[in-house]
Amino acid sequence: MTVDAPPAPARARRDPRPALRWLVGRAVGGVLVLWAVATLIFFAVRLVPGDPAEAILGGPGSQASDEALALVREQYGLDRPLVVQYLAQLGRLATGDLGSSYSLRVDVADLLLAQLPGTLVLAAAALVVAWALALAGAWWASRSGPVGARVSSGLEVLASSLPQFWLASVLIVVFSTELGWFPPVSTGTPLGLVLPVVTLAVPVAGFLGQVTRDSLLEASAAPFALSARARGETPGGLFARHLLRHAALPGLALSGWAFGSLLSGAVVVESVFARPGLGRTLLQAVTLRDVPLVTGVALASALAYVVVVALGDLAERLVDPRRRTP
Amino acid sequence: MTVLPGLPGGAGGPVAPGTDLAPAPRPARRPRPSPVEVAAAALLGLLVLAAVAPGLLAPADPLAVAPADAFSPPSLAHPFGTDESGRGLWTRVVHGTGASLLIGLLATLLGTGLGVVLGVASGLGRGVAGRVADAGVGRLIEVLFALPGLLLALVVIAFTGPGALPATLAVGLATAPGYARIVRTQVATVRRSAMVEQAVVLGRSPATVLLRHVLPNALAPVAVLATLGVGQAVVWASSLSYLGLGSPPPAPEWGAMLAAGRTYLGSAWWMTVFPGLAVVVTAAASTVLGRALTRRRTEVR
Amino acid sequence: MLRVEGLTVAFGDRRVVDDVSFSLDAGECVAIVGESGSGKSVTARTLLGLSGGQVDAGRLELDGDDLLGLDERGWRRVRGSRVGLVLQDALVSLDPLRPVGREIDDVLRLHGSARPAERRERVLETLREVGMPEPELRSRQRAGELSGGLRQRALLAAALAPQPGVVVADEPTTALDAAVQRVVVDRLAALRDGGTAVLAITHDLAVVRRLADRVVVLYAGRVVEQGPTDRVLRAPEAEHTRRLVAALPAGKPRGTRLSPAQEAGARSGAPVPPARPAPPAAPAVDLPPVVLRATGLRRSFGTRTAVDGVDLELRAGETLGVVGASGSGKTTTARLLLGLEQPDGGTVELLGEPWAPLPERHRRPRRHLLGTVPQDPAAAFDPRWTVARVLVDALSDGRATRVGARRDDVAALLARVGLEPDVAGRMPVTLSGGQRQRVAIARALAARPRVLVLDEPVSALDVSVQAQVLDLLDDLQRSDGLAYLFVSHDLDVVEHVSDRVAVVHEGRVVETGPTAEVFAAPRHAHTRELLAARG
Repeated sequence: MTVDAPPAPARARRDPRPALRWLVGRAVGGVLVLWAVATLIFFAVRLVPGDPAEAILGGPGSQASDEALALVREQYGLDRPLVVQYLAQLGRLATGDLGSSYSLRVDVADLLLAQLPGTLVLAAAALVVAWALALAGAWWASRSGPVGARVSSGLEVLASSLPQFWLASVLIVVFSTELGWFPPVSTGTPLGLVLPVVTLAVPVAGFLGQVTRDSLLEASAAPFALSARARGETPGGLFARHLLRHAALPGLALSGWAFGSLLSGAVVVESVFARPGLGRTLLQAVTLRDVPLVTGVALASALAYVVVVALGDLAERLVDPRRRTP
Repeated sequence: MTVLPGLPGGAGGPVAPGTDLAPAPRPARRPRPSPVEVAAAALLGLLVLAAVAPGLLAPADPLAVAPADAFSPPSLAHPFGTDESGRGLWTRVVHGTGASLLIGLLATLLGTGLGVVLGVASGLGRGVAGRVADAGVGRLIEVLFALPGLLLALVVIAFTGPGALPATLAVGLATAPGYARIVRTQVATVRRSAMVEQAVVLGRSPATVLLRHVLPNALAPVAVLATLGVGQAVVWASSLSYLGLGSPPPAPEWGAMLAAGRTYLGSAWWMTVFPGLAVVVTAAASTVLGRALTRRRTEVR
Repeated sequence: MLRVEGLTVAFGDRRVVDDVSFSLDAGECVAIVGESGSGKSVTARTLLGLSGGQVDAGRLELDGDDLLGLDERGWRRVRGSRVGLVLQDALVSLDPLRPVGREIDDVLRLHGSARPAERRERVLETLREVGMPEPELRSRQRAGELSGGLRQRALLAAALAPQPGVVVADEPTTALDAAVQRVVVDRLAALRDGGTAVLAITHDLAVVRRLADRVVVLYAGRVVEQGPTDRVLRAPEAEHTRRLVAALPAGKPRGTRLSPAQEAGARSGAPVPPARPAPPAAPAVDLPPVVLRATGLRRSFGTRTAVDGVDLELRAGETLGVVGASGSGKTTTARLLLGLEQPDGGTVELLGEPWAPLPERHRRPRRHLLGTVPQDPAAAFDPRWTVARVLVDALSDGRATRVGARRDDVAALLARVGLEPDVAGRMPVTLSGGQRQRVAIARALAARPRVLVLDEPVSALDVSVQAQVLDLLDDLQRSDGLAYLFVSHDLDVVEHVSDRVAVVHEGRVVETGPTAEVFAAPRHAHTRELLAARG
C-alpha cells in the first residue's frame, strides 16, 4: 500500500554534503557582501563633491597639509584611472591591508583587532541578558492571564522605545550619581560592566520579548499542545519540553537584526560609558571623517553580521529539523 | 529597527463560523480601543499641538537667555529646569517638538519611499530579466542590512558631515532596507495569491492586476509600518544629535539639547533626561498606535 | 463505564453544550455526530477537563469515579492514563520538533514509575501494536519525516501507550487521504473489539457507519437523537438527522436532490424525478460537442513530474469527475486547463480552438468562456472589496464601473445562487463558508462561461452546506447548459455529481468512462484500490 511506504529511506547519519553546501553558500555570500560594502564606500568617497584626497583625510574642513594630500594621492593612486584604483583597492583589502588612519596615526587593521574584544564581550553579554529577559517575560506573561499579558506587552513597547543614550543617562544618574552602586565609566571591573550591558540589552529584550510572546501564544493554541495536555503534561513540562523551542524560533531568525541593534547600541554605550571598543572607534572616525577607519569598521561590522546570521541560521536548523532541506 | 516581523500577509481568514442552517454570523464588531491606546493617541495629539502651536503650551520665548538662572533644577517656575544659558527647558522642549517631529517624518518619508521603490522593483520582476532584477535588489538590500541600524547612518554622516539635514538623510537611508524587505515579501506573496489567480482566470490584463490588486494590497501595510517607523526615526535622529552628529545647539530641537546636555550629565541631569523623555514618549506612542493599527488589520481580515 | 447526564458547558453566557446525556461502555463505540458549531468537540474535551468553559452536569462519571469535582491535579492523573485523546492530522497534533518516540515516552513517564528502559520497550511495543514497520527507526523520526499513514499510527500510539480505558477520537479522519482514513478507522475498530471504550467525534457519517455501535446526534449543543447506528441512519426520527442523512451524497444517483428544496411542501431526501434521462447504456448517435480537450499534457516542477501525459475530453452539458489521491496531479491538471500554468508538453483546446500552450494575450479575449470555483474562497477575494464590488468587477469585465450603477444585476446574480440581496454590501470574510462559495459561483457565472473548472469546491464545507451547493451547481448546469470539470478526492461526491469520471494516478489518467461503469466494475488496479479504501 502506498500509504505506508516510507517517503525516502532515512538518510544515513553524518552525510556531510548538505552541510558543506550550506557552508560554501554562506562563505560565498559573505564575500559578496564584503565586496559590495567595499565598493559602495569606494564610490561614496569619489562621489562626494570636492577633492577625494581631502575627503579621505577628513573632509573639506580638515585643513590637511599639502604633503599629506600628496601622500594620499600617491597611496591611493588618485591620479590613475578609476578602474585601476578600484582594483588596487580591492587587492589591498583582500590582503588585509586596510590602510592607516590619518587621525589616529595607526594601522587600521591593528586598531580594529585591538578594539574588537571589548565590543564582543559587551555584545555577547548583552545578548545573553536580553534573551534571558525575553524568555522570562514570555514565561511570566503566559502564566498570569490577560492582565499579565497587558503589563508585559506595555513593558516591551516601552523597552523597545528607549533610546539607548537616554537609558544610559538615566541609569547613570540613578545608580551612579545618586546611589553610587555602579561606576559611571568603565573601570575594567565586572561591576563596571553592569550598566553598559543593561543599557544595551533592554531594547533588544523588548523586541525579542514581543516576538517570543506572540509565538508562545501561537504554540499554546496549537493542536500538539492540546495533545500534550491531554496526556497529563504539567504546565511547566509543557513549557520546557514543547513551547520553549517553538517560541524561540522567530527570535533565532532575528539574530541578524539583534546583532545590528547591539552594534548600533554599542556605539552609543561605549561613548557614554567611555569604554574602549569598535563603537567608540567608529564614532571618532565618523566625527573626524577618517575614511580608512570608517571603511575598516564598516567591513568588520559586515563580516560580523554575516557570521552572526550564519550562526543564527545554524541554531535555527538545530532546533527545527523541518528546515533541514533534503 | 523595531518593525514587527509578523505582518498581515494576506493568507487565511477567520474559520468559517458555522453552517448555513445556523443564523448568518454578525460581522465582527470593531474592538474598542484599550485605555493604553487612547492614551497614546492623546499623547500624539498633544505632540502635534506642540508642533504647530507651541505657544499655547509654552508661552515663553525659547531663545531668551537668562544667565542668572543657569543650571537650575526642576522647580515650579521651570518644571523641566534650565539649561546652561538659563533658558527654561520645558519651553525649549515644547518649541522643539516641531523640528524634531519634522526630522522624523522626513526621514520616514525618505525611507518608505526608497523602500517601496526598491521592494516593488524587485518583487515585480517576471521572467529572466525580472528574476535578475529581483536577485540584484535582494542582494542590495541584504548588503545594506549588513550595516545595521545606526551604523549605516554613521557611515553616511562620515561622508556628508554632521548637521540636521545630513542626519535626516542618514536616518532615512538607514530605515529604507527594512521597508524594502517587507514590501518585497508582500509583493511576492500577493502576486502568488489565489486572488490574483482568480483575476487572471477572469481575463484581467497584467497591468490591471498589478494596479488594482497587487499594489494596493501589498502596500497597505506600509502606512501602518510608517507609523511605527516615525517614532524609531525620531529615536535615531536624536541619538545622532546626542553623539554630536546632528542638529547643533542652540537650535530648540531635542537632539541639539541632548548634545548640549551631555557634558553636564553629572551636574544637571535634567538637561538630558527631559528632552530624552520627549523622545521616549514620541516613540512609545507611535509604537502603541502602530501596533494597534496592525492588530486591527489582522483582525478584520 | 462513562456516564454523562445533563452536561452543560458555557462560555460566559453562551451555552455551547446544553443538557447532553449519553453513556459509553467498554468494548463499544459511540459516535457523537454534528456539524461545526454543534458542540461535539467541546463535549469531547470536557471528558478530559480541557473544555475551557464552565462545566456543570448532573453526573459525569468514569468507572464510578466522579469527574466533576476534580481539580487540575486530579485531572492530570486522569488524562492520558484513563482517558486518551486522538486528534486529527498528526502533522500538527504531534510536536513537529520532537521525535515521535519521545512523545509516546512522555505519556508513560507522566503516569508511572517505570524505568527508562522499560518505557522504551513499551514505546516500541505500542508502535508494533498499531502496525508501525521498523519501530526502532521510526520512533526516532519526527512526524514530518513520516508518511501519512505512518504518522497517524504514531499519533494513535501516543494515545494508546498507557492503555486507557476510554479513547476519545476528535475528528480522526478529517483532512486525511482516503487510504489513511482507512488505517485510522481500522485501528479504532480493533481497539473497540479489544475492549476499549471508543468515543468518536465526527461529522463524517461514513465513518460512523463503519465504526459506531450507537450514535448521538448533536445540533446547537443539544441532543436531537440517539440510538443504534443502524436504526438512526436508516430510519432517522429527528428532522435534523433526516436532513443530515439526506445530504450525504453516497449512494444517491445523479440528479437527486441532497438538500431541502426551496419550495414548501417538498420532502428532503426524496428523489425528484430526474430532469435528465439516465445515461444511455449504448452510445447515443448524437453526442454533444467537445468543449474542452486535453491531449498529452505534461508538467514537471524541477525533478518532480506532476502531470505525465494526461488526455481528457469534456462535452457540453456534462460533468466530468476527476478523482485521485492527493499528489496524483489532478490539481496541476486543473491549473493547466485553466491556463494558470503552461504545459511542458501536450495541448489543450477550448471549444475547438487552441488554448494551451498559448501566450496569455491571445487567450485573454476568450477567458470569459472558462470559469473556475476554487476550494478556498476566503483567499480568492480581494480583502478590500465588498461582495458587490467583486460581482460588478466580474460583470463589467474589469472595466471600472460604479458599484451603484449595476445594483440590479448584482441582486439578480445573487438570487441565482440563492443569496439575499443584502449580502452584496458585506465583506466576503464575514460570510459563512457556504455563502462565500455561492458568491464564488456567482462571480464565475457573471461572465457567462461555457465551462467551469471546479477544484475541490465543496471539500471545506459541512455536509448539509455541501448538499446545498451541489444542488445549486446541478440546477445551474441544467438551466445554463454548463460543462463541469469536477476535481475531488471525495469519491462519494464525485460519484453523485459526475456523468463520466477520470481516475488520475501519478500524473496519468489510468481509467475513464461513465461513472456507473467505473464505480461498479473498475478495470485498473489503482481504481480498485481507491474504491476499496472507501469501504
